[in-house]
Amino acid sequence: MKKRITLGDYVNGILLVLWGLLILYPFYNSVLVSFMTQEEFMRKPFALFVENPTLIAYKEIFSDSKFLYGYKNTLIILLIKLPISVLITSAAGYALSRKKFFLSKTINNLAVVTMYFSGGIVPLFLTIKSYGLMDNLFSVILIGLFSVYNMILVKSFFYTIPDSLEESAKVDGANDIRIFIQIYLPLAKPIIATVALFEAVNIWNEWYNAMLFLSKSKNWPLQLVLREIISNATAKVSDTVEIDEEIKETFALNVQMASVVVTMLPIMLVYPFVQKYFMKGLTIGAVKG
Amino acid sequence: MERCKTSIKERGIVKKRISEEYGFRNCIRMLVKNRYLYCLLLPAVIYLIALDYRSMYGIQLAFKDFNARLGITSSPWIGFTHFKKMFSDSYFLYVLWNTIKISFGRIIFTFPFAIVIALAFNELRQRHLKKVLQTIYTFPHFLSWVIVSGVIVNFLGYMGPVNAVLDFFGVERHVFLGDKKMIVPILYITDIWKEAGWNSIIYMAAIAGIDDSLYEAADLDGASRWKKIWHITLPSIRGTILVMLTLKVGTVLNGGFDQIFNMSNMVVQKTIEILDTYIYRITFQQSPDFAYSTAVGLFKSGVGFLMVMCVNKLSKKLEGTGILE
Amino acid sequence: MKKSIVWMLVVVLVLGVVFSGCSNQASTESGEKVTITVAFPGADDSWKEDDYYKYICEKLNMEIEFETLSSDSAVEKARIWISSGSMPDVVTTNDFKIDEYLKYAEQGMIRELPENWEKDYPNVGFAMEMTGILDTLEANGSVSALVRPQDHYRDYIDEFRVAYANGENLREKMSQNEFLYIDSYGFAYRKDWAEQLGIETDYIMDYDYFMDMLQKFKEADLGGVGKQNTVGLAIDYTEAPQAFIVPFNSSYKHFSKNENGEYECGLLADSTLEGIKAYAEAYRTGILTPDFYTQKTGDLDSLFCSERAGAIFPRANHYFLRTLCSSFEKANPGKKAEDCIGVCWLRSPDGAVHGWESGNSYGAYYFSPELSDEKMAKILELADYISSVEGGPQIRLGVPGVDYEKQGNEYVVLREANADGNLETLDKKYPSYEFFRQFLNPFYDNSVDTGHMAMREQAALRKAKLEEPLALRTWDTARDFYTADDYVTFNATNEVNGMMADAIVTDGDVEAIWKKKVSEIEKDAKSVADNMNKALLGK
Repeated sequence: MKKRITLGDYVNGILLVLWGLLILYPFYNSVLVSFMTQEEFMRKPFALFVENPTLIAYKEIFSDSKFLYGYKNTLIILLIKLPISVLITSAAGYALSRKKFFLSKTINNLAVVTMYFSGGIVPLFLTIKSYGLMDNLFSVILIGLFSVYNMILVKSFFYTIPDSLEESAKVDGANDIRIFIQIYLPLAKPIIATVALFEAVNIWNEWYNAMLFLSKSKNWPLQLVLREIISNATAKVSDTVEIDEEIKETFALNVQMASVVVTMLPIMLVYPFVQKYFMKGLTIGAVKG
Repeated sequence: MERCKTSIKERGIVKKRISEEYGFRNCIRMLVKNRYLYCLLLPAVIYLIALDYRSMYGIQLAFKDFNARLGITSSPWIGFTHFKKMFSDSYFLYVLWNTIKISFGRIIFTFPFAIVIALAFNELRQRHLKKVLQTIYTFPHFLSWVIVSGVIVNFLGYMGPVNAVLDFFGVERHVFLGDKKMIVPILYITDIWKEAGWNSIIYMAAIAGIDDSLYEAADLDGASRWKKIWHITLPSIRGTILVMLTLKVGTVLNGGFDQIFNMSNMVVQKTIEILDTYIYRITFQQSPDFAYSTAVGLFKSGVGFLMVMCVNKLSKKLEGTGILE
Repeated sequence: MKKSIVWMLVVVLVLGVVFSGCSNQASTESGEKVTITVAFPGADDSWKEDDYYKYICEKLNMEIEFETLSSDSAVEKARIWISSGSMPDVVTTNDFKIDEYLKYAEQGMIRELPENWEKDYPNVGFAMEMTGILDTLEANGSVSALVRPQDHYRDYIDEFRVAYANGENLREKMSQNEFLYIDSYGFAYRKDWAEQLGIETDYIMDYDYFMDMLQKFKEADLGGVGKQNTVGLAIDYTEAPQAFIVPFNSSYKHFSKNENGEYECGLLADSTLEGIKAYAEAYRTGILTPDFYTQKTGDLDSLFCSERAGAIFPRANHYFLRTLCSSFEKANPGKKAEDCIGVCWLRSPDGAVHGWESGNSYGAYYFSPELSDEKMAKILELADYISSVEGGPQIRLGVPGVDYEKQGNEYVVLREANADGNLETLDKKYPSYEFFRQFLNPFYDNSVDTGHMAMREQAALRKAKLEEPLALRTWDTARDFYTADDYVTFNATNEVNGMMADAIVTDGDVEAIWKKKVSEIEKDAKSVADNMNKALLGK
């Protein structure tokens, strides 16, 4: 059915575009700064284009030997952690969204409690150490493998799906695992896509646990490497700085901006594939129909 | 030791439940019947026990005088000393109140924006525009507050573009970031600017999950667009909204350290001081005490959890379910 | 539970072994190379591959295994490592806090230096004496860390070495007038603008004269960016009190000793109020930008280099000045920093030059309680070499025969200049330079670049300051290391910079505003001072 485009549509569209421009400009500016020299930035911090574009900031990032390791490590972590995490999280979310069974409430509440209460850093450090995971990528993979936050999102999505589907499948003799995988999971594509996106971005941006548990820079994920590069590019403020140290040609800001670009590019490439699951009617209709 | 205690407590609860709700034999039958659901839950349960609950004994530090050599479990108990220290500081109380004010402001002003954006996108017909805009809206999420604050300081600065425009129209230049009345709204607006687009993703996913037949039926009845939003879309994502709200109130004592730390300046510092920035400034001078910071953390999460339980009650009343069961 | 008992046993056993081992010094002559694991910010496996590392380690027959600390969270990780009893052999921290050190030492989380270390390693003994805080480090009866000494005294290092050999008290010697180390605070200003306006300049200028000059800079708009967009002085709020209040009261901020030798709060002093008035005056007359307190440090250099500011503070320190000069020349092609930028400090209305006697930002090296005697001895050997008369210059100058040569008593640098005419720097050539240079911070200058104007200007300014009558805030480690709860809370609650910035930007009579603020904190300030006097002076 073809719908008429009303005045409301125009207002809505224009507002969204305006807000989008408001978001885009500072971001566009950040990208520009990543190609700027310090002189140009000093004179024109709010330019619309770069007069003398330079790749110096990107060189600074790419020339660091740690950078490639960083990409590699982050990809390894992502490839292992993401599927497992999404599976564990959505399975738990599904199980807890079904009608109450023995201990289900307790498990749910104990899981939620961990979102607010934790033992602190030192016990976590000792725990990881006792598993022998120091200086091992698996420490970073293990922590956050199950996300209660995402589990809650999944769970609340499954609530909205009527129980009748489950009951009819049970009549056909399917067990819970099969029902989950064959019936509910396909229905939950929007939320699975969301949770996967959240988790992927978390993994992509993670540096703190890596800082705690990985002492060999060859094991560092991308974000930790980038932080190091930025901190090296930043003028040191202590008195112990020597006259003999090199004056950096980059200034901290363009390296910082370049690191944002480097971080974001892969996500921007993947986002459209995830995005289609938020578009209404594409998934649900197909399955239900 | 701590783990031991909780499991005893658990067992107590379990016993009560068994006798009240199911009876022992029923219980066994339920266990067997739901074995596949338990299988689905198992990895998560193992994770929780192996990581979160295994480290949970660290909470006792809040009531102890930490001695690294003795370790956490053997350090001497000192009762509520850390908490007394917290509350004997009048500035701490001021900051606590300030944090709560700022956090609730965020819930009132910034929280709904993500929903509005999701609804607006849902009404946008042009598929391509929609895709492009949605992507753009997520961008600022990836900029850190250090970068965002740098841009904003320049943007709103005395010689920056905003003031240049004001000057052009004959309005007096204004130091926005140094205005104690304006700084809190600026915090909210920049927060919306940065995160609303990203936060709307979850609502878009929820909207994508709404059964199309509901809209078709409404179309047949000739319902207006507002009516459809009000009577179909919003009620359908009410569960998600409540979940997000519950999660949000749990962070009431956090208040957004990164943003405030980077956007603050000395003139407005007191106006937007929150617990985390205050603690940060204290540990700058004094070596941080793991025990004291555990106590502060415990207090913060305790308050957060209380808030969660309150909103959860509301959520259960409205939706029949909440994040806590 | 079981685990912690095991851990306790391990620690006790190790300590037992360590103590019993003391009488039985392990010999280091065995041909085996000793490998030590060192955690250092930014360190890397690749550091082991450069010639500089190889030269030093071969010389000392050792091997260093570097563990990387991420630079901006090194302090945090070091804390967690030590507190959880899982540190590598050596952990570096650049945020040395005495209360933390004493706690670690008392709880046995870090290893003590062996008995007689001062005698066995005389250069280390000397270096540690040069920290000026050795007595504080020994508060528990023994020393449990190597602390980086001050490098302020490198010009007099030979004299101090002799004094140490003679058993003199070095701490006392450091505060004698001829060795006095005064802070390097100062303004960098546009010398060429002053010339164009016919204003005479010097390293030390009268307060009013200088402010007047800034005002003229602003009026004249010599950068041609419009009067509206020009400011007299680029400064941020954390530094502004240094520029405006210090000339009236050097100890405005801290609890410092008064004439009676008792601690009192500098905020309450009348002279601080004079400073506040001057500060407000500068703000209201437009020497500062109306939003100076929102600007970040990076913006300041932009203001100055894009010719929108006539002066910038503080940029008399050689590193900042060098960075500034380099940015300035890039942003203004054709202009030479040498001709355009001068540095200066102010003579206060009372006729004296105010300032601080500089303390140090200490860094420390902590050792694992499980470290063997053999490794400990090796580390001390390295430290001794680095702080010795022979080792010091080598550390500073690179690999002998390649980077420098000793001809008679002179060291000659052999490194060649690159296309820009600058020497390739050692930290770039040898990544591991970073570690060895900082380890016990040997006092020898690698002054290959003393020709740079930044170095010369800093020295000239310092000399000019010392020739004037001085009113200094003295270096007081007892106060610097004081961390009582009420003191810390008071400082955190009443952020001085904030109080001042707030007072001067608020409309109204600045004297009344400031007096009101001070009266609100007076009671607390007095009680903190009383407690300090009790704790530190026994009064």
